[in-house]
Amino acid sequence: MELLMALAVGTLFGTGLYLCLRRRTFQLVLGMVLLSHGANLLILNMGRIRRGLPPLVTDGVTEYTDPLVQALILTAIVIGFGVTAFLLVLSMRSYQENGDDSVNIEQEEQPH
Amino acid sequence: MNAHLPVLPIVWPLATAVLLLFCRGRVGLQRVISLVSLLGLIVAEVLFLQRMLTGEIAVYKLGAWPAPFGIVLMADRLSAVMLLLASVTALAAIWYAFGDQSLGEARERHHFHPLMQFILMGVNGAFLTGDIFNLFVWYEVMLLSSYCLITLGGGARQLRAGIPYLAVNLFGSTIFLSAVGLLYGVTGSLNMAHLSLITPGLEGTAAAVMQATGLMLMVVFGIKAAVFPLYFWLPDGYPAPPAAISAFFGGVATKVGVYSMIRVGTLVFGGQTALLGEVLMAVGALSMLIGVWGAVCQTEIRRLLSFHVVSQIGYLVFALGLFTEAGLAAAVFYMLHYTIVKCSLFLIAGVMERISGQNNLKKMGGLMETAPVLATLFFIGGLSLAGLPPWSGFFAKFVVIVAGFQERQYLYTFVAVVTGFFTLFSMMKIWHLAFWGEKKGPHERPWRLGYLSVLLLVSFSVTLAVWFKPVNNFARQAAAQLLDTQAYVRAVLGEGATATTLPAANKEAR
Repeated sequence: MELLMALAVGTLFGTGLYLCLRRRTFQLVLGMVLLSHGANLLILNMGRIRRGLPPLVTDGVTEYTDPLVQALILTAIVIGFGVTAFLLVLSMRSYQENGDDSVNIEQEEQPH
Repeated sequence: MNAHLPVLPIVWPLATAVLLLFCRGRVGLQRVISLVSLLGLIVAEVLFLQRMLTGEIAVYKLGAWPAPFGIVLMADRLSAVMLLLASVTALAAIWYAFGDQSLGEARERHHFHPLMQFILMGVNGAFLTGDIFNLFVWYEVMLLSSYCLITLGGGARQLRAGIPYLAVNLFGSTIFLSAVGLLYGVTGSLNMAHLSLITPGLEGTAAAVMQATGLMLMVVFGIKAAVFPLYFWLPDGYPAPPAAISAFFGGVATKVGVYSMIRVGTLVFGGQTALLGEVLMAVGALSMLIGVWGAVCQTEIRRLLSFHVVSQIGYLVFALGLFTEAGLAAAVFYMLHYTIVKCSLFLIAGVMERISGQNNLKKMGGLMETAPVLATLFFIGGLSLAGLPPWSGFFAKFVVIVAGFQERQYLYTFVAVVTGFFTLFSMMKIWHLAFWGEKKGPHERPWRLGYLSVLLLVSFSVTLAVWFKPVNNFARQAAAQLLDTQAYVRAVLGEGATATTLPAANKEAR
């Protein structure tokens, strides 16, 4: 299970990075989304995947699953959601304003 | 009240920002609230700094959860002084913004003031937190506000500059998140003081993963601080927004990265700094040179200053990379000097653009005649940045270079000296092109109310130079405190805590 998860994390990071290196903003947005999913899965993996165990330690519970990682991921998802929404709006506004959706900045020519 | 003082620098700007959101459209009211709130915060932070001068480590447990489980805030000398610096810089930027009318009515009405409070909250949170995941959250608070501020007003250039800025920082956040995840997987804790107990005991694979995590975190902080290979977003991003905003960014935002390097480097990775130190010193030296060479080629004034951000951060990172008491003290002193000076130079650049209506140095010319006071202020600020006596920059570079020699890092120290010459050269260039020479176009009336903040900052920098000895003593004490990790453990986790007395969450679960 952990190997499978590790492979999934690797694939997400790989494809995410590839998309981030493209020139156009929409691919960049998708790449960022994949990257953050990769990071979230990585954290989930770090808490060790254990099935059918309670997350809360009460009397008589010796085997438990780690609830903290889920709290961390939840926080990260919320933040990622907000930032992605902002990035989408920004790339759209930039497309409207500049007339193209390339990521590069072209310096205005300065006469010397 | 005194017990809650550590959380005040976070709650106060938040409350102000929410209040400001309700005053939408009433610019005058927003200005008053912003200003009064910041002044109040500064008073509280001066009191707080005074309390921290005794060497106390203030710990605030959020929600009163016991230490390694809940989130703790902790403050020492360094964080107290950084809080104060951030607020003073914000005050200068805000005062400049409405005293000069350079932002424009629309930006001010559309949430400039609440955003400044939000970014201040994020910055303060990052200075205060004692929990590494919480640090990530504060980074996001800070970055999200900074994305908005960079693109606020939405000219074509700002929007275009915003996307790479956002993409690079978002990528950095992903690495941060992964590093925190790995750290948690290896150690089972996120509390920095607790981590400092666990990390020295790690062996084998765990120690190797820890090394890798440390370097990943340094990459993240390096992106925020804009050190050599990771600086490329900065010279495009910082000059895009109006001067007041780029002054706050140039002064404070990059320092948060350096502060986190210091905090995490000393506390979490205290035991294994050899590799980290080597990397930081090399990166620092390269940043100094590449940054200053970039600056020498520029003719757009705020872009030029942005390259200087990179080069000056190099000094900080080099001094930190020494990981000695003298090195850390030098880094602290340099940070005090440099935050103030950089912010003032960005504001001066804003005034210069305002007067001449140009952002290209070659088209300015003759500002000496129109604005002699401004010229004097630039003279002080520019020479201070270049490190000429008697200004604060001289002392700051002096302590860095002495610390470098003490550790026999002759090559890097030599680079630090050479960078000083190039910095001087590029300041001379600004002086030569903009202040001297013939007027190359109509000039506006030079003196406005907003320029008082330039005066405030420059006088701070002069104060640093005049009171070099007490300030330097303070920096040394702060450095000594940073290196005494046991003190943090005692303060956060209580007397007699060791790696084995506290449970590490998922260690047993394995």
